[in-house]
Amino acid sequence: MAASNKSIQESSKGLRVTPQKQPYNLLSLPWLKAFLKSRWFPAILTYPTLVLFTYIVYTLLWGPEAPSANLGTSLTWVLWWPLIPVFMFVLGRFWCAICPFATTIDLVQKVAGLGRPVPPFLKKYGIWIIDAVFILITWSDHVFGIVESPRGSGYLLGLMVTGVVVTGVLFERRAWCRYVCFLGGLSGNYSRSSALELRATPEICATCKTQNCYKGDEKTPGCPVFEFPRTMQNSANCNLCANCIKTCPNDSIRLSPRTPTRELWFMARPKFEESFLAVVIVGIVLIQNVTMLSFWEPTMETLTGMLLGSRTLAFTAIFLVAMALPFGLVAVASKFSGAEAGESFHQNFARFGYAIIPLDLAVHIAHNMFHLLAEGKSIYYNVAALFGSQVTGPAALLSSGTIQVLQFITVGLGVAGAMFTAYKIAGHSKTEGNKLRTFWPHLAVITLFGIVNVYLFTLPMMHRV
Amino acid sequence: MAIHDDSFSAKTGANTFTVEIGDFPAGHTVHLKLVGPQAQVVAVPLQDLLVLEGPDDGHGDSADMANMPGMADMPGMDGHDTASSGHDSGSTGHGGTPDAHDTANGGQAYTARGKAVLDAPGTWKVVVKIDGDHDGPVTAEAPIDVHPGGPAPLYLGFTGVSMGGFLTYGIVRRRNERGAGR
Repeated sequence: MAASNKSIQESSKGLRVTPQKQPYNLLSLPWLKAFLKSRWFPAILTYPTLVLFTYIVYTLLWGPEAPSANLGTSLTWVLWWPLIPVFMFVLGRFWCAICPFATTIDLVQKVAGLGRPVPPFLKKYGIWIIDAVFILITWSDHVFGIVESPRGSGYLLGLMVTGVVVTGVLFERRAWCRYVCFLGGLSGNYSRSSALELRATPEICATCKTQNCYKGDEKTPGCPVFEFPRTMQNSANCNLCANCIKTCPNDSIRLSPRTPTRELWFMARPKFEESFLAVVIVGIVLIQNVTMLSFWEPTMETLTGMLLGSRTLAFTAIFLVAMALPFGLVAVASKFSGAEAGESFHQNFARFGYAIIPLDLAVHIAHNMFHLLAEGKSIYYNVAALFGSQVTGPAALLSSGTIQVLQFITVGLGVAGAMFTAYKIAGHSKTEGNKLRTFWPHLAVITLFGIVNVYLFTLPMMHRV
Repeated sequence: MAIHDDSFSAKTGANTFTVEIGDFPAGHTVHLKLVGPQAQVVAVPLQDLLVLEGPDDGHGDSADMANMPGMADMPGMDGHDTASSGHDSGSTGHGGTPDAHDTANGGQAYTARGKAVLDAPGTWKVVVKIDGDHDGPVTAEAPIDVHPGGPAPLYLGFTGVSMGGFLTYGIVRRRNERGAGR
């Protein structure tokens, strides 16, 4: 994509354009192109997902209160939540295309959608709202018990569905997914590391008069997340719904595999709030790990005693520290790095914050790998019970030693990816300072994050179910 | 002996009960029923719990039993005087007891599960009866509190009214706008 942009810029300046090698286009596979263009895609996946989601919400709210016996808890927190970051790494935001929230919005808009424009404040502060919602939900999870309580999980999903319905009625397209959904924000960040990208071919788009990819045609709506493929430079919002593939009259859209994390190396317009989310996720995963360790409860009891006997206050204090620590460390690194690069703290933080994303993704996968592999059989037991077969046994699919080795490998890959991304970002500094000296402070912080996470994964963790 | 529910305490609606007997003589049958506040009787058909083996997960207990709260303890039912029976006819008519393990006392650990739908909150009575070939049946009872199941009415009201209200608003407003546009 960057190469394509370069060729356009050069062309507009009247410079000689060297033909750029186009990445392999998966749409050159006739069966895949036909499937993505058919009306069955993504409907063949969205409606079964919506039905399953409805059952999950039902069983969370009305089913067993013990998480180990609740199929909704198993499917949500032992299967879906651990798989979703893997999914994002491989397929970008494709989950968002089949997400039951998106399908609900589409259905709501068919009967009651008013199609109002998205308010400017939502456009301007959307990512900050997502950041705030993500932090609030993580905090609520620990204070009110969401993950470990089927009712809590059901309440959260029900409230989100309410938000989905409200925004679906009021605003055009999928305003919820683009500007409010915390999972959308998370997937937006992770998808930048993904191994797949959808892009338009600028040379073809230059001659286009229809702009159907954005507006839609008589059969297919336009891009649901307000993207214009012609100018799209990153995968943060594209959810691979294939609407643009269906509507483009010129076959300009390509779907290409790419080197994971590559998009992060050349961020054209880095945003502070996106980097902030990346850094905050380090704190969120940190708190998720720490609360599952054996020293957590004694620590909480001590702190609760010191803070007016309020467990909520004690957790809030630890939570704020966990959020502030990674932010503070990256901020210090940005201060030093920015001084070398001749840019402000704000600019440097915005640029290098993206380097944390591969580490976030890896640590998120590693943390949830424990839940999937150490508790995965609970899904089988609960599905069997649903069909009248009573079976139980250990929940683990693999031994704890094997899981730990896999976690270390995953974190190691994440650290390597983050380091390499920071190195590439440093290499694209605009100023002519010593680029390596802009890299060292961030390398030190990434190394520290890696060491802390590896240490945490050496400690025994508690189960979710 | 202990009986576990799949919720922290029994609730109205569907419940899954697990009966655990530490030292259970072979050749005996367990029957479980619940008697409600209005004397309604709900029989719980028990099915042997198949216990699978698997890798050590570092927690040393089965997936769900580790987290299931004990709902009713029935002291005096373990090792009762029917323990001398030597038959091995299965506990619930399924032709075997795959969950049965030898215990220190020479009997077997018995675990079975069954579903029941409880229609009213209040104090119910759990009744367990063990039939043996040579001895008369042994019966034990314990009270349990059944609370209303499902989400809080306030939550249901809030989400229901919000969604329903906005949907209605959207439909009406759209109809009005279309009418004005004609």
